[in-house]
Amino acid sequence: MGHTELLYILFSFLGTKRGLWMFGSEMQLLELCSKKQLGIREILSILGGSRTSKLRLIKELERSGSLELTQCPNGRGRPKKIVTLSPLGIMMLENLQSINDMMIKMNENDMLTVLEQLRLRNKIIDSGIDPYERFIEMNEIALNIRNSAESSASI
Amino acid sequence: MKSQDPIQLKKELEEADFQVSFFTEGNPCFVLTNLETATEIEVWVKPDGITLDVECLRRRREVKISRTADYGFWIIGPEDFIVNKLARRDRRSQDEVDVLSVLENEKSRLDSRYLQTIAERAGVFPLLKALQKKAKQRWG
Repeated sequence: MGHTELLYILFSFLGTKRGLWMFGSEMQLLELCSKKQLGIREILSILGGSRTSKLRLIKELERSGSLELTQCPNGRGRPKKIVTLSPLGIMMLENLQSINDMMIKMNENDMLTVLEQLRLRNKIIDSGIDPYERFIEMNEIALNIRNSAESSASI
Repeated sequence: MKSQDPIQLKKELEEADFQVSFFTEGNPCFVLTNLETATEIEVWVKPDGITLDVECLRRRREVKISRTADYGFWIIGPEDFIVNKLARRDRRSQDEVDVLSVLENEKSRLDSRYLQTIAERAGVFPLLKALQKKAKQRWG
């Protein structure tokens, strides 16, 4: 599968609500498997949330060739199944990370923060004060408080 | 400060009463602290997404860190600041908050043609448009 083709599939997939949810979970799972070799139980406990949906995602990624399940001897009991990233999985993770980099990171609360900052700034300007001048003035006041506190402590 | 030599530059800054931190070769950024005014300045040697060319330098602005300071610091213009913030490799939501604040605060003074040119050059123009659209939808 070519690079462009893979990106096209990812973008079409992201166009759906389920796609966006899957995108986050998928990236989280692939990132986890790229860092260290973990068993299925360990992965489910680290990821948290619905075990059924996470298990389904592991199976889906194994079916698509992104994850590989290998058996590893585990003392006297049953061999442990270790989940590792395949070369295709590494490529997929790199693409998902680059798509994630393109996305807007701010949320509704951040938008409200900007709005509040603008309101305060406009309030200062409407009072005929330059916001940067006010910042320097406030800094000087804070410095004076610090200096007087330090000198009274030394007396 | 006129020195191009990093070691000499560090020495000059320290002589001018600045505490210099994270000043290592290869580090794109170092921090200056002026203890007298309690001001911290992040200096980016290799800023992401922008080129420190003639046009960028022409649009720089001088700011003073205190009312009594007899020297100033040059900061990049708002258009370059916007692109730099969006092109950061480790861009966080705070960078986008800063971008929206500048877009709104400098609304009437921004050179939109220059902004588009440098945003396209840095590959962040679609992101900039998406942010502007989001802000417009939210605030009208």
